[in-house]
Amino acid sequence: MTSASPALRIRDLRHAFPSPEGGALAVLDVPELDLAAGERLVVRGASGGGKTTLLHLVAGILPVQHGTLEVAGTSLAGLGEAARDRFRARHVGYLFQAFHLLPQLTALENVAVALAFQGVRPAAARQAAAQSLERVGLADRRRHRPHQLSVGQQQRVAIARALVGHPSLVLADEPTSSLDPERATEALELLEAFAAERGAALLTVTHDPAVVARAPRVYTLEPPRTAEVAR
Amino acid sequence: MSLLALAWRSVRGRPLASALTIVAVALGAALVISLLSLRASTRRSFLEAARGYDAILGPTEGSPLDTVLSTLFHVGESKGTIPFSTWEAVQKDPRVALAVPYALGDSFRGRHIVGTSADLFRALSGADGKPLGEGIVGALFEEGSYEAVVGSAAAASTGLRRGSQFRAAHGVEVVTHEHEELWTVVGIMRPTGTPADRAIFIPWKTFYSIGGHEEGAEALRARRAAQAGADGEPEGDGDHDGEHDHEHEADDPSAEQTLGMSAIGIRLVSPGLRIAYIAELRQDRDDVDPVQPLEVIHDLLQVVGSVDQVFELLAWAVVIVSGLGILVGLYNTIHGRRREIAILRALGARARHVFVVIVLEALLLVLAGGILGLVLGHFALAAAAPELLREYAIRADIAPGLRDVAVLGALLGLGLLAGLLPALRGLRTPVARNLQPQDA
Repeated sequence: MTSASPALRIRDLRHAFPSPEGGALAVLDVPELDLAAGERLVVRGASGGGKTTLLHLVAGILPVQHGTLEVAGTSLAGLGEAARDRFRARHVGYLFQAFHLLPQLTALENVAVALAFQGVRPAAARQAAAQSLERVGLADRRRHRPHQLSVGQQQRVAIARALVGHPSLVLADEPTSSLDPERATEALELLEAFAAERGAALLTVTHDPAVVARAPRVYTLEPPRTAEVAR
Repeated sequence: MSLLALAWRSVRGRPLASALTIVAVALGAALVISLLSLRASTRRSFLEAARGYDAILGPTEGSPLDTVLSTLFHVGESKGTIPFSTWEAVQKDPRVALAVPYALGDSFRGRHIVGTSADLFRALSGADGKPLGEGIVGALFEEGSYEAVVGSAAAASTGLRRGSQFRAAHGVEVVTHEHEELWTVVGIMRPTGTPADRAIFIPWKTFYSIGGHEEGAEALRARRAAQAGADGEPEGDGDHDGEHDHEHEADDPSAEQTLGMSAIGIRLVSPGLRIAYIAELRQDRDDVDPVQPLEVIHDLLQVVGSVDQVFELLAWAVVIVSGLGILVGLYNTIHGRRREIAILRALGARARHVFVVIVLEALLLVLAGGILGLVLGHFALAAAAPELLREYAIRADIAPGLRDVAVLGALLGLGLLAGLLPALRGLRTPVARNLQPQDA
């Protein structure tokens, strides 16, 4: 992995889940997809078209079943679960559709927890989390718990968490689905600007036309070419 | 943010369930530490009390335990008497450093009255190692007087003070009547942490002048007169047995053969002589039963020990049940925490991180419960300590020590075990499926 490595390189990536009737149900088929370092890309597709599965594969949450998947120059195919976990902690920031803040933690702790799994010392993690919260305009909300924050503020905490670890790639899953149009635009602007400052590539999956309209590049997921996935 | 902090936040995130679990563990820990401390304190106090004499010569009618309990612990009543000739023989024996007479059977407001000599206050020591005779507020009684020295707990419970006067009651467990003689308290003992605190001490020779004990007094005088006459034969004897059945024995010719001495405490010139001395007495004399108090108390503690082991097991059972509560509680929360676990994993937590956080949660619960329980246990002991010392001459161990570390260690071991199963369940939580919004 070098600085010249693309943020994402996919070749013939396919994925299937076990079918209730037995056999396999193909859910994802990406013949080719590249994302340069620092680049922004929006992936769109029909509901159930494999968008979230793509994010889970790129994040290393799901193992690669078929094809080539490289993130920041590292091939995830063949990596074990623990190795993928380590890789994700260091290189991937994740912005969840429903934010997924931990209710028992303050805003600061929700951001700092992402660094705990990188081996960052608690004091340094708190400092980095505070800076990240300040960047998203929530310096005065660091001690608030999620239920004490508005939806927009929760989104900003989630953005701060996704970027606190200086990831190579940020994955955003339907980032505007919980926000009204005005807040959605603000959140997207903040996410794009923060990612750019950190030099992180941004891969957003969405079915929101407003998000698609802002994207410099769009990739449309097509239905899988075949129901079978060679292992 | 450390894994420990994450675990602590999870514990705090479920305040009611965590508090109930902590209280359950605390109650178990408090019970365990209280019972362990009490058992150790009781054993130590009993053994210390039994170390006063190398041997006790008791009547053949009772058991060795009767003899030890009635003389050293002021519990129960002497079951018979031993002949005056034994007292004489014991005093002449060069191996005997101190011979302490015991004349028992009277009481005052439930407290045992012990007819004895000043030697008792030299032979026996308090828990502080100092002789019982030290630190008496007032004075020791004069031999042959109607003076009394009162133990600290007896003084507190009977209201006797220096200068107080009282009449002894005949009998201890069953009181038949009050004697006419009036005794004056001349000294109050310091709290010694021994059973002596519970008793009232009077001169044994005057004990026989108590109404109804005259036979003994006359016998004593006759004995002395006979000795003065140098013929060596007693001209009269009396009795004073533990039951004070003097009205019957006064008419009983055999009473002349016994002077009402309940027991004799023996301190030898060397403890190494103990076994040979007792063996010799057992062989040569069939009118006394010589016992080793330490041996008797050891036997007693073994019997009692099996009972308090049951209580200890019950206390541990409480702790184990609370540990099971942690297991079940945590195990059930894992289902509700699938989302949280999936988020942590998506943020880069490895499976072992999740495992460690859940185990740490269990350990935090038992640690909090354990510390709270130990504090509660020691507070309970501290609250009970004055009563234990006053009524049972048991000095309770109040200060925390290695025993607490051992209990806490055992609790943490239990917590570790209780956390394993939920942690294994947490390991198996599928990440991708539980990140879906519809699973919320």
